[in-house]
Amino acid sequence: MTQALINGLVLGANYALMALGLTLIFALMGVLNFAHGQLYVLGGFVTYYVFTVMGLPFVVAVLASIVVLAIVGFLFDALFFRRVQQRSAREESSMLLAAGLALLLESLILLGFGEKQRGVALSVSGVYQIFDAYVPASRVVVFVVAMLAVVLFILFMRHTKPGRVLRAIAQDRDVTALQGVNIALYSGVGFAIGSALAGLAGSLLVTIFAVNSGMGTAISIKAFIMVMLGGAGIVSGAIVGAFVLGMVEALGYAFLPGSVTYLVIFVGLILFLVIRPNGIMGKPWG
Amino acid sequence: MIRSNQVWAFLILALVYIVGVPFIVESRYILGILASAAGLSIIALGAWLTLAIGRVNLGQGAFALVGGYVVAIATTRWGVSFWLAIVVAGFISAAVGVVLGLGILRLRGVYFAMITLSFTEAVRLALLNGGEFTGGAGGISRIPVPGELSLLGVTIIPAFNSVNTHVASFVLSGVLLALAVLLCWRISACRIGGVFVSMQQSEELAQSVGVNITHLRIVAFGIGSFLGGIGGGYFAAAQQSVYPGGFGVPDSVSLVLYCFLGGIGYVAGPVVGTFLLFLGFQFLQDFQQYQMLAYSLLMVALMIWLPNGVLSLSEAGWIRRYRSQHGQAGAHHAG
Amino acid sequence: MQVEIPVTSGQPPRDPILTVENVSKRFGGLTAVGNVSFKVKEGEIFAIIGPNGAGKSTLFKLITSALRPTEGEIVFRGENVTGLSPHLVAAKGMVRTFQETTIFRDMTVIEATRNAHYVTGQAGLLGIFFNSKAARQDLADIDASTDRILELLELRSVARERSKNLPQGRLRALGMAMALAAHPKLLLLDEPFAGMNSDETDQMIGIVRRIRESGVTVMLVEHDMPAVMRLSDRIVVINFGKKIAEGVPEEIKTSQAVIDAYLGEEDEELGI
Repeated sequence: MTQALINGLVLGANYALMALGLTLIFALMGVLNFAHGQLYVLGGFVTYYVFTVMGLPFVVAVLASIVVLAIVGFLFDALFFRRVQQRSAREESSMLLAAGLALLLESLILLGFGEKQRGVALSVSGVYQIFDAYVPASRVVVFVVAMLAVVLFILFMRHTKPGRVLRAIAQDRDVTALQGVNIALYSGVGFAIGSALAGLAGSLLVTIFAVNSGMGTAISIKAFIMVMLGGAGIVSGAIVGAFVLGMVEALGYAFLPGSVTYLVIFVGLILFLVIRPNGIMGKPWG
Repeated sequence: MIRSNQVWAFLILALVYIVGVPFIVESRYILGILASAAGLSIIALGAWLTLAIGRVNLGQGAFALVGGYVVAIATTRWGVSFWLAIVVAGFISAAVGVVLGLGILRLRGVYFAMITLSFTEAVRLALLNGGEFTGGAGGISRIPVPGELSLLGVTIIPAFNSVNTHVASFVLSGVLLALAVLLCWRISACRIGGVFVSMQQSEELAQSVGVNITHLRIVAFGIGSFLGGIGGGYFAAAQQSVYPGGFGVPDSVSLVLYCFLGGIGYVAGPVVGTFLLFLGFQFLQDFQQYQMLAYSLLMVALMIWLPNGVLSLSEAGWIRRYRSQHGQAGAHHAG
Repeated sequence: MQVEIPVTSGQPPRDPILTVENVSKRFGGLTAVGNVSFKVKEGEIFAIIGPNGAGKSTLFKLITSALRPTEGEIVFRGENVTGLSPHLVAAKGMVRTFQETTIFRDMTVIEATRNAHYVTGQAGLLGIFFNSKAARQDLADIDASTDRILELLELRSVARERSKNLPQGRLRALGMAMALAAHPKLLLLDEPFAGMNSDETDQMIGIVRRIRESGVTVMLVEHDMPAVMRLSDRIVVINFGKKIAEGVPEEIKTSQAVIDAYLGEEDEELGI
């Protein structure tokens, strides 16, 4: 039981990174980024490549993932989303563009890194005992780094000028534009940060779960669950949703047979959203 | 309004396709992918009906699974004729859609999309964990090909194993698709279609002139689910097997993409989109490992340059000029 | 065919078509509408006015059932319609317009008006789908009704225009045409004069009068005082969610409570 709870905490912290990235992009663009899972996968592969293939320190690998993903995110916005949003008023267009980009990114990852499953063994020695559970030190590292990033993200959004501008855009794009803010630049920055968070999650979790080029959609779906559960576009909601999913998943895998866990999660999510579409932290309907 | 000469033109086109293609195309492989494209088009038309009332429906994969399993279980376990089973499959899918729709159709945007996406996953996982009843991960195989359909001793449709099965499957897919197009065409061209357009643009406004939006949303979603079930039932018989991974979230998303890339303003949109992209993907096989890259680039390029779909080309200046000179009107324009 | 229906305060009272009785709406601790009552008589042009944020639009939503009142009753033609689903309220003959009708951008005026005839006719969905005899009769009725409505609202000349190409005044008239398509007994207009110049205002006043002459009672919620004073038979003034005055235009113009309420509004002219 304690083991499952601790696994849930470690998962939850990393899921929070993914969910925060997704919810930031949702708040800015009003769209669920179907390519989010592929961004995560790319983050994992970059870390694998820099750490295992090039033999550079893990810290460098993590930083490389963040930088690469930030650039990819910025380009996604500048090359694709901006154009489609200018041309089409329907929000579905952006959603489907994201789905198309997911496929594009997936095929690029497949070409760049091959179809083999890749993992990273983090050589941090030591095991901690917490009550009756054993936690490898590498997981503690992953947990601490993830939590640190979550805190940094929140501080950035609250206390820096770019963070405040991003929040203003999320609240009312048109009004913010009237105040002379360069919306195009900032939505690019927002997309870059959101993608970098997904990449960081991939970079950290690749030490626990191996990545392969085809798993992006499954990861996206997980991120969607967290964001919808907590309340779409709400920072605190993303964190709550992530920890709830991390816990439920860890407990489910410990006590339920195989895929029943996710069956329960999906049925539960449908019922929950029917009753409370705005999520745990969102305003109730009406 | 649909003019009768448009209907005749459509029927002749459908007949030429259904009868003509098997004469020209000898390759079983090509006949097979054409039939699959037609089957997918039927399911995509269902997604299109939900788009018509302004909902992104990522649940069509689930309804196709339901329809496929109904046909599989009814024909293999209970010896029901395929012809009865596929109709039942459509209605069971529709019933599931109505029950789900009662709960979720008041939601819009990402909320509706997300719930229907969850539904696709939930159905897949339920079938995976269904034990002996659904056959688990392996699903149900050895589904018999459609048998003879006769009325008062007169054979209407011969048993598929007594003729060329591949041609028979192709013809079946073509006929089902033609019927599905006629259904959606009629809906979008009559007053109901006009009301759907109003609802898609503003449910509040539609309600203000007396439209019972709750009722009509259920009708649209129910018919969409029906088409999903029919399409899934067709695939069960054509491929003679069903399994939980047969339709998943990526398929549900693709089906909506087909609608958009074909053009959601047109009844023919989902069909054109499905044929173009599904066949396009197959024919890009020459690119080998670059197949998926080429396909996704094609898709993203279409979204950027033709955000209203391929059929929106028919509204382009030069075609309009041509038309006004020759006095023709667009055949498949919805609404 | 100018048929003047003389409606003044001196007339014997007719049956109320709409009775709003002690209606309140609270959001949390905030009272948007507090204990408002009034009656709209059959055949009159009735206006609700008030400064910005006075609770007019909340009241409008309560009457059309877009919101459910916390307390009180809405009685339409002798029937309690409080909390009824909006489409049923519309089907009973109380139909509203919207300020913005820019949404049917690609429809022509005639298409949008035809399309709004949802409650017309006998055919059910299956009848419409299979083009039954009843459905064909309905279509003929709809064409005739559309024709009448476009004539009444002076929209004939722009019948084939797409709504996105219409000027503001015509667009507003199209919104009213769509509402009339539901065959209302009582037409509720949401700020029909908002954003209009004086020519458009004059034209709109003419249109509203003709709608009344065709046998439809009109109630409007409005900001534009001069237009309301010219057009209305009776007026209710709302401020801070409460009724502060009721009467014929002359009484409203001289009411001290109304003058005080509007003093706070700098860009607002009182039509005196």
